[in-house]
Amino acid sequence: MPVSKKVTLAVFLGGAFLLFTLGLFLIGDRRMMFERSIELRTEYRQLSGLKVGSKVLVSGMDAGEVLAIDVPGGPDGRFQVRFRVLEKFRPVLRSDSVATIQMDGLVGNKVLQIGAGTPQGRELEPGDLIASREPVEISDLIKEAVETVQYARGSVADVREAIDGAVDMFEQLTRNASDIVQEVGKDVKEISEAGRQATGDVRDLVAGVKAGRGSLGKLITDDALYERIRGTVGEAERVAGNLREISDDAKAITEELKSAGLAAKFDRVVSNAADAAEKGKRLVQGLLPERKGEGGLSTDLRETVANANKAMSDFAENMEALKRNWFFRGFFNQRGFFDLDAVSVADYQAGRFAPDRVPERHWLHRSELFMTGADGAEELSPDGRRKLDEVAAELLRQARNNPLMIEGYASAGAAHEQILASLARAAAVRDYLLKRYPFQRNYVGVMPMGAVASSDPSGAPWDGVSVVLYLPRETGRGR
Amino acid sequence: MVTAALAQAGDMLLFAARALRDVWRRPWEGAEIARQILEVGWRSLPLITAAGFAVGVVMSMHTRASLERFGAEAMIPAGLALALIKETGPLVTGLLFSGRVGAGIGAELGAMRVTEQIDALESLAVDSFKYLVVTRVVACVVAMPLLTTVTNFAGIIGGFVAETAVSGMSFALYFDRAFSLINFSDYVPSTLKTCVFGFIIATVSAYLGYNTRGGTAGVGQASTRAVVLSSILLILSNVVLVKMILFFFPSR
Repeated sequence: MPVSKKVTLAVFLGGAFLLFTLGLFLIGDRRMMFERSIELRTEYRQLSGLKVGSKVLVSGMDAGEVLAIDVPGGPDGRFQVRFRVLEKFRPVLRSDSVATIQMDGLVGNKVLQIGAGTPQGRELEPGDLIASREPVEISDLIKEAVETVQYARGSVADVREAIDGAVDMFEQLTRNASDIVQEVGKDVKEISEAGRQATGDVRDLVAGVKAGRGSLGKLITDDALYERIRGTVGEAERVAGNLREISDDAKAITEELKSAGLAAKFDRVVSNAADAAEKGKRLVQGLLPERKGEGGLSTDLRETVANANKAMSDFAENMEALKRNWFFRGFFNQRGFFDLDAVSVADYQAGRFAPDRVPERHWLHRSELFMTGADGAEELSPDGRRKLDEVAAELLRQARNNPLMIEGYASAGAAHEQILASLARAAAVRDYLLKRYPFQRNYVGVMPMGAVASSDPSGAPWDGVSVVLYLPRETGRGR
Repeated sequence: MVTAALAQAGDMLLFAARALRDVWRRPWEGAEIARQILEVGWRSLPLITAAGFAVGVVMSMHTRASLERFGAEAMIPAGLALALIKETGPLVTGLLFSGRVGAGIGAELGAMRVTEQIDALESLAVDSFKYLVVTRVVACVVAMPLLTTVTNFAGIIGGFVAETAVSGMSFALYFDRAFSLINFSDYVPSTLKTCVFGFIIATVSAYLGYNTRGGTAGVGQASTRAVVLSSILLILSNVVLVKMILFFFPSR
């Protein structure tokens, strides 16, 4: 055989053999067979697939392999795992190191993971037993996950039930709200319609009155009628004067009957009586219808007053409804009252009337205002009228759009008598003020206080009236 | 026909037994064995290396496609090396070897038979069986594990080329991972079982060539049948060998 062929043969055989040896070396090196190592032990009740040859990691770094697994002698025993760890890891491993069986990657083999110990632990010697932590099986995790999912599913079902309930409630609430809105809308519509009609009626009424249509219009605009009424009243006054004279005459006659000249004086009386009768006849004729079938002035007046009363009653009712609808009530709330006649004594005494306003009071004692009339009832005295004039002059400066309350006080008699007396006093004052001064009627009210402890200077129950003007807080002085 | 087949099988077994026996008998025929090793081993090296490299590249691509689904790309080198060393390398090498060497032995011995060269050797008092058959059997038995090692490494390198082209993995990390799952029990038995492959290929091919009949047509038939029969027997014997390896070296 030529030398070249021998060399080739040697190269082939040697090279291939070296390659085979390289494979052996790589495997041995990977198995850490060419480094010094120590043998250690640990024990497990559950190996979870750990087997001889499995890798041993120290803090995640390849450090050795499992050498042997000894099967325990009985069911209570534990598998003893013998493994070797490279000598260089010895300083890391301590007596408090713990061995756990873990999976090498998601689809990898099981490995024995040794945790580094603490500096307080002693260094391990060959053959030492390392503490172990039993592995967590995937089946256990799955079981745990299934239980968790079931629990979560139950919770979700509960939450869903609660949400469904809430949604049902919300739907019910929405339906109720819708019904309420519809009903309120209906009411609002009716109120608006009533208000609109009332306004229209009032407009028509006022227009009619202004135009002189109807009884009231005629009454207001017909000058002739006014003159007739005025004349009638004048006649009535004159008749009354005559009657008074007759009465005086009768009294004189009576006196004179007791004395002398009776006949002459009787003639004069008869003459006067005839004259009075003639005037009374004219008065009655004025009141009777001019032609047969017609109602006459008294009938017209009665009908007019009745119609006006009805119209005003309806109007007042509509206005009352209108005042309380959403569109207008803001104004009345800001004003502090809807209707002064609707303010109860209890509310008034409790201070719930116009709480945002400041009262300006004028205390007027009964003795200053009233005198006892011929019928025994109280009536305003001339001094009282002058006093009220003084008060009105002062109030008028600020009375516009501010409520004026006439409080009546009476301390004599029983409770109902006190109320009636106080109401009569307040009404008398109000009527006088409204008659003489341009106060707004709907801004003037009466309040029968009866006998109550007042805030007058003496502190005693007041007997008389108190004229109270309620002023806005920013302008009122208060007293 | 069955009887004839069984008779031929028995004849082949006796041929193989004679080869095994004569290996240990003098003369050793060392020069001829060396020449045959060069012939069947060295000359097969380019084919084996190229085939092994290509197989490695292809296996790397397939392995990546499979392991990528599980997010286990890091296992590609280990999986590839394990598959190559345990089974693919030996089997591919055996099949290639039977195709090239088996056909050659069958044709060469068949030609020598029909041209009465074997008879001439016999007339010169040369043990033709020992000189022609045993030397080739020994050469195949020696060359097969060496060629298998070359195939394995060529395949691993081919896998690295494919892997680094995709992921840029370093050579050191690739080889570290490639041998991370391989044990001696995986490497040595799988490599050495190819000696059996070499013996089967050599004895079957030599038997068919040594007993060629029918002139030049018989030579062609012997060559073809040598490749087919040795390949079939190689694959069948692999089943038995793997079972034996698993029995003696159980998987850990």
